[in-house]
Amino acid sequence: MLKIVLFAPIDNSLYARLVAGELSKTEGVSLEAIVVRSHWNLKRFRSEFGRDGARLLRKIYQKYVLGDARFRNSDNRNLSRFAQEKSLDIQSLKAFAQTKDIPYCLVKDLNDPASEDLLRKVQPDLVAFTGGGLIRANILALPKLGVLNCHTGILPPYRGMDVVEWTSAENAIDTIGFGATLHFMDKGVDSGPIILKRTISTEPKDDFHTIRERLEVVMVELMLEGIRGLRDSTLQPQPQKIEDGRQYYVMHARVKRFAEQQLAEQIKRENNHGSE
Amino acid sequence: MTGNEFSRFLDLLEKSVDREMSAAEIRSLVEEGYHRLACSGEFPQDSRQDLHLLEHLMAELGWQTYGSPTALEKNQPSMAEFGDLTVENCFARGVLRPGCGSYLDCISSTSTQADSLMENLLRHVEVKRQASLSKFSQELPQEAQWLERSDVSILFSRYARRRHDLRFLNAAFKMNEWYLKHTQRTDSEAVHVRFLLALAEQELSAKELLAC
Repeated sequence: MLKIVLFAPIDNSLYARLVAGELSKTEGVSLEAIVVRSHWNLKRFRSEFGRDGARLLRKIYQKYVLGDARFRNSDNRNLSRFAQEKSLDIQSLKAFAQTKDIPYCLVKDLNDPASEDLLRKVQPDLVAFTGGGLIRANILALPKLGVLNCHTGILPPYRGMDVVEWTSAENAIDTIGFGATLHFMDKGVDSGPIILKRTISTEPKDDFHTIRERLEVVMVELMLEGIRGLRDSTLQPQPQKIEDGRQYYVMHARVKRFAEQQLAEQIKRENNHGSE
Repeated sequence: MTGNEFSRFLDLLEKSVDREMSAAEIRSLVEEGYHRLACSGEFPQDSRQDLHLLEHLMAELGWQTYGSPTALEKNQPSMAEFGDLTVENCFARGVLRPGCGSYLDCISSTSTQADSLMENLLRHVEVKRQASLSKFSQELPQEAQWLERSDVSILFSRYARRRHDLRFLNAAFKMNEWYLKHTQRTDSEAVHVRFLLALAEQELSAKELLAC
């Protein structure tokens, strides 16, 4: 039996709820505990606002105010549709943990001593990380196999932030593609051993938002496939070479506009190619 | 307020909080600053080279200058001017040695030996943001500190062109927006002209790298 602890960024994270729900139906794995980061504090807000600027407000609005309703006007294959396909009936991780009699730990930061204590007690094989900030080395060292993270980009070339946009800005949609990569976390940024990756193709009405929506579904799929593969020992993590990739940072609005133009051009070319 | 109205409100809020300088605003800022400085009778002699280089960049960008700029006296400083600066000691643990930006610019124009240091410097600027480039290996007057910061921005813009690496131009955009406020407050013409030079270098890189 593969013992798993789930790390989640907020209690109503749809990504985390989907992973929790599907893991509870998966044979040979046992969800041992759920650790959730609590709501905002001033320190975290300042730090993230400094990094993201005012777009953080949109993130907060989407996550905390809209919740699952953010998908309402989308006809994309997004997490909400995926949740319907999977008949997900979990509204909150806390309620789910109570129903399943799983320890539930609410922490200010996933690196808090309470997380460490819980991991030492549970001794999991894996932590499934579904977001919530950087994880420090003392936590990374505790699960026997490691901490799994799904990155919204193709590794090793695209590590770090805004890599969907960077892939487009660097005209790498054809060569590297939009995708997601499941990997073990290490001390670096998206530099740990790779377990699985998958690319997606673009669609005629795509923009970065719709691409990200579809990638969120791929992230859940990869997380679950990866866990099953590790359970069955059919997947072997492949270490990354640092020199095979670069780290990317928050994209400035002027570069983002360029990336949007590049994406539009690419889609136009694909449409023209398809109609020939 | 409906969801759509709130979303539009967030758009406006984003635009006002993350005040972005448009290419047109930058051009006008540089042209106005250049004309003011070029007409200034008390322009510091040490900054003449900066002003001269600025004229060249402006001409290359098709911006308005006084007549055609004369030929540049020297394009690159010689390595001897950097004394004991090396790739190993010019930037370490977040501490910048004076001359680091110009030195790395000189090194990276001919070799790749500073490439991994450039990655460290980029990470430092992106992670520390406005608090970056604030520790120097020796005490420096405010004016010298701001000149060093603009030098790193110039380095990033040039490096972006040399390596076709948009990440460095991305960082230069942010740095110049952070530094604008200070430059508008300072009386130092040397800081002003170096900042205008940083903006012109940024726009030259943008012209080259962000053209579809």
